[in-house]
Amino acid sequence: MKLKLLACLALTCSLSISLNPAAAADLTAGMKTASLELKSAGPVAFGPQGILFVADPLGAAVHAIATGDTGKVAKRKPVALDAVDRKIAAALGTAPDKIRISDLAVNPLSGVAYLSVARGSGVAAPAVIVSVRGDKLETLDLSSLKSASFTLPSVPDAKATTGRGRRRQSARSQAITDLGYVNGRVLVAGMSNEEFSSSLRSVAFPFDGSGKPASVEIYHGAHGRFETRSPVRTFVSLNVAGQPYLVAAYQCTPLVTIPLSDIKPGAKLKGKTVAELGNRNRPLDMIVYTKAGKEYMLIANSSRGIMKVSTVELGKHPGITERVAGGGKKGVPYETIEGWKGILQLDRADDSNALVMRETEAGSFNLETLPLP
Amino acid sequence: MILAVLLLGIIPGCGRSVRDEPGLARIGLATDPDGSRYFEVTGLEGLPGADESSWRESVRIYTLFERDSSPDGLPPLAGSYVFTGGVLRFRPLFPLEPGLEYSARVYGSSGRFRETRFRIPKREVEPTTVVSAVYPSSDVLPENLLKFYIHFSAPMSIGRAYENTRLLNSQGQVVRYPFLELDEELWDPTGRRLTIFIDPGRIKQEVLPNKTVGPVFRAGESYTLVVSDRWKDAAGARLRSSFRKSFRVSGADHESPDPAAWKLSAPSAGSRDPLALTFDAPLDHALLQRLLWVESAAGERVEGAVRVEDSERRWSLRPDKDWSPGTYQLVIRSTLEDLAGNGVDKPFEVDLFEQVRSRVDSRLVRREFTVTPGR
Repeated sequence: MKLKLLACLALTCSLSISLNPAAAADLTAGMKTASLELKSAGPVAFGPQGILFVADPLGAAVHAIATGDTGKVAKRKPVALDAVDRKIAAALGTAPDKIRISDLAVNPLSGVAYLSVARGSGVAAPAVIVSVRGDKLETLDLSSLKSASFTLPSVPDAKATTGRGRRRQSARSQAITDLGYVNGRVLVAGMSNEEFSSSLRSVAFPFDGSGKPASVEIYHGAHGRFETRSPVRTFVSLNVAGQPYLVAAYQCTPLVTIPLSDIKPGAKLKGKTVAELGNRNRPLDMIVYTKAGKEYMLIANSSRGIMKVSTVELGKHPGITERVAGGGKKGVPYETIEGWKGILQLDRADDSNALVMRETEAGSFNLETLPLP
Repeated sequence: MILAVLLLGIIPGCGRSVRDEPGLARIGLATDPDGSRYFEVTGLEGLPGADESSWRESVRIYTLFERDSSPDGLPPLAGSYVFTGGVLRFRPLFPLEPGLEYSARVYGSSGRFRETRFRIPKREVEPTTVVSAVYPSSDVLPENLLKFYIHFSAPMSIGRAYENTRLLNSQGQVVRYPFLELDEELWDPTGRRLTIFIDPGRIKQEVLPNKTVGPVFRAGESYTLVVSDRWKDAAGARLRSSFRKSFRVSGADHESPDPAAWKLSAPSAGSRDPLALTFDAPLDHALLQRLLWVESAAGERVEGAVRVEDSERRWSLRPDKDWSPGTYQLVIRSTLEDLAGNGVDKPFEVDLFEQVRSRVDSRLVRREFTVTPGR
């Protein structure tokens, strides 16, 4: 995933120069070199200063890793690597069908791609972070890097467990469907493997142990009538009319906007539905970029290729609140980018390019840098 | 036993490998007392460099996916190098994989190399894992069913759930895209239980998929959930057999479970008889283990064995100690759901126009009962 800082990064940069010297503080200062052990590696996203956030659903944690990859590169080499799955498998000494690539994120400072990978088949499979610089692949040695972790609050009730006494344990787990760094906070979207709940947590970064994370429940209001819990599949942040918003895709396909200022502890939020993506159309990743002075959002989907939406339209849309006759669509207008087929992962590579992981007809995965449409 | 094959001068596409270069270096595979294997390079005199980056250039191990294949275009194996007492040791980051071959190469200054190949014998795995249960266990399920729990007898492989789980209609045809396919499959921490949600876009009313494609289930029809025996467990063995669960579909359920309506039979003091609850409709199997418990008047949890039976219509607690006389609280977390995801706190879908029931705001719902001495 996904450059989540986007407009917020630009904001941070301008503040650091003109208004607020503290914004340029070393965010890795409180981190420790402590042989971070990942129990799993799910969604990944970059923050500032080369800090990679890694969701660890099995460890019920989010880790911040100071990759040390902070130097601007004079001439970036675009990431291009065929059969990345085979190459990662070879480096990890196993067969291609025994690795799983969960997610990818590009470091905006260097253009280097980082992939979260599981080596093995079951839940006990070790997790690895792999970097790709140009066409050169390396495994990250976490024992030599500084990191900090935040443990997600577990089961909502300590008594809500099975078994007895010391043997008491929970079969509940929290899948992390997406995470991102927005305005000094790490946002984590998740869903449970038991109750149909939704949670969006907002944790202050650096993880200094102070302040409770804000946890909100997300609801979906269909046409002002039915209201349901709605787990978030993927999200991105952007500014609409000067206000920071999340654009989130629900598991049941609507695309919604949520003001960031509404994410307060205990809040129950309803997103404003601005589009419905249609059946069998899993939104995989979203990025925001500017081209010729206009801002756009790209949505990678499982079945419809890539959708391109003007964010101005997102801001202007009053929200779908009425039943649409004949089951038609009445959301924001979008353009389907036909050439981008088989995209499994998407992130912004730089101002004018995207990095994608694409499945080939032969069934292997290629990393390609493509000009933003 | 490890088969080591020394190949000299027969490496296609990699230039020529010669006997006299790079010197007398030999590569072997050694085993630590803990069973982990590492490569050992001896006879290194004359090789360039004396630090890790030069060793990385001089000695490279490659993974070969197929027997006798070439590692061209593949990166070398990740691992660490240590040079002591004239021996260079390379420890792979992960254990070598049974069934694969590894090419160990010592490079000379001219770029020529000497190669030794090691085959790690394949480990034959017998299919032993089975589907041990599927919940809901009833053979009649509501049209707006929200999820299945598939339990396995051993940890499973991850990432292949949706290609190995199918839903068939009464004609044996595959129901297209019935499930919410998540990149992060919903396994429990042991890898033995998978949760599969029915696509909520085809359950929720007024959502596009439901309006255009319609619901997954139709009342009055019959369906079969099929788990393929091609699915591999975490050890790489297929399931011992495929699994089928057939069921009939009844009308949609939009009502919240009502704890006040549950039949409660209180045990007698001095006994270890179970406290038993009977529900008017089945509840969620997993949540019944977790979101329902009993507290004494002092607020202490009554420890005991929980059983969920009768197609998740009956819940009972057999205490570890005899019941003392007094009042107790049955405590229910209001997110306890039925098979259609209707919670005690609110239905799966709240119809804001009709407001069928007032909402339960409390996050814990309590129902008091009294344990009295038996006759």
